[in-house]
Amino acid sequence: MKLVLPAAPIPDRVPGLSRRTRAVLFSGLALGLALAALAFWFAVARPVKVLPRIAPLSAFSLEDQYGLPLSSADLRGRMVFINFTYTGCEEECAAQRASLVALRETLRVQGRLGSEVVFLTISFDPERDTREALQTYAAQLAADRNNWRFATTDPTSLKALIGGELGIYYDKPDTAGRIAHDQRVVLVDAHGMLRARYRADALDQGKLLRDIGLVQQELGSSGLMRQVYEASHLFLCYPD
Amino acid sequence: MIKNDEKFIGYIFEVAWILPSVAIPVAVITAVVLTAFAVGIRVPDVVGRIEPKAIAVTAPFDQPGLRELAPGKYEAAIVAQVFLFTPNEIEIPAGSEVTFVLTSRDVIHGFKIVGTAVNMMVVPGQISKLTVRFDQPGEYLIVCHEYCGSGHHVMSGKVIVQ
Repeated sequence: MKLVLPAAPIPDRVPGLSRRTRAVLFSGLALGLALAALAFWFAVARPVKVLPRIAPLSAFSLEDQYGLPLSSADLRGRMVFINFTYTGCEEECAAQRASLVALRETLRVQGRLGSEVVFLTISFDPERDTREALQTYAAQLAADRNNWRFATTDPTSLKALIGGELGIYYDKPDTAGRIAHDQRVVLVDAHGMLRARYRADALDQGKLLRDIGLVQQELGSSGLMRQVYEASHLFLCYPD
Repeated sequence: MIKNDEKFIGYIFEVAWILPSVAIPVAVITAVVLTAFAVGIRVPDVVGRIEPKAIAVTAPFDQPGLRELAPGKYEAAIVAQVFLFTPNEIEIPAGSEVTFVLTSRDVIHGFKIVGTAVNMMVVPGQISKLTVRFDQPGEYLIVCHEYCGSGHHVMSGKVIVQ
């Protein structure tokens, strides 16, 4: 038996589609593919890095070492490093203090202290950390009130902010006045958005300066570059 | 004339099959991208790294267990190893929000709490994190649902919500 295949009709052109329509379709397809390739390259090569926007920090109000009110709104406009400690913390917090002081000195040399970056120390021991205690502590660190403030508030608000919102644990003071706590520093940007968390006992100056640079770069961007930063957020282009 | 009509009908059939085969994957990819970026649905992913040998000296795993971050908010640091979770029993009041932070000492384990949305992998060298709210009182079974060895079936725990 012989199998006879019917001759397939080969149309000289796709019926219903003019040359012009085909040209439009093909260029549309080429453009789509090019866009997809660009998006893929952007997501894989990550040419522009950003610090993640972890969460907006809800409003809080504290009282600083001079009894002045300090609210979250007062901190807008500059990025702020916030650390959580109590003045009675001796050698356990020594590394944290030294790192923050060293970072402040570097920023001072670079001329970014006060203009781009400020510091805030929040004490979770309001009972012992009175205004006087905080003033003494600030003096020990040679802190300038224009770029490093020390603040606290009532225990309930502190617990809600530090434990509830930021997930940083601290216990009640024991009989010797010592408080078991997580050593954490957070970076909040000029818009009040939480951008990074660090282990306060192992701060890496290079990494901190890099992160400050990334946040500042993004803040100062405009036009097309701003959209590129938005795309970096979308594609999770975070530094390692 | 008749021949041309047949050709045209054949063409319509071809298009009717080809178009959906393009449209369906495009619709699925769009849905995935939209839910991931616009709605913010994320699979629980790596939130940090840890040296498995240093688990005993790295917070919070140096003291695994439950601790209260704020009223109604807890953090449970759990270490998984063959064939147990440390701790393997957690007691919380109803309405609590618990953030589970896990890592593994040895091989890949699973962490699933039956009846909740908690379902994640526990990988040595990585930290996994997930927050869930327990509104209904009762006992919730924790199981390792990633085969980890001969004692895999006994690797379990429970969350007691009061």
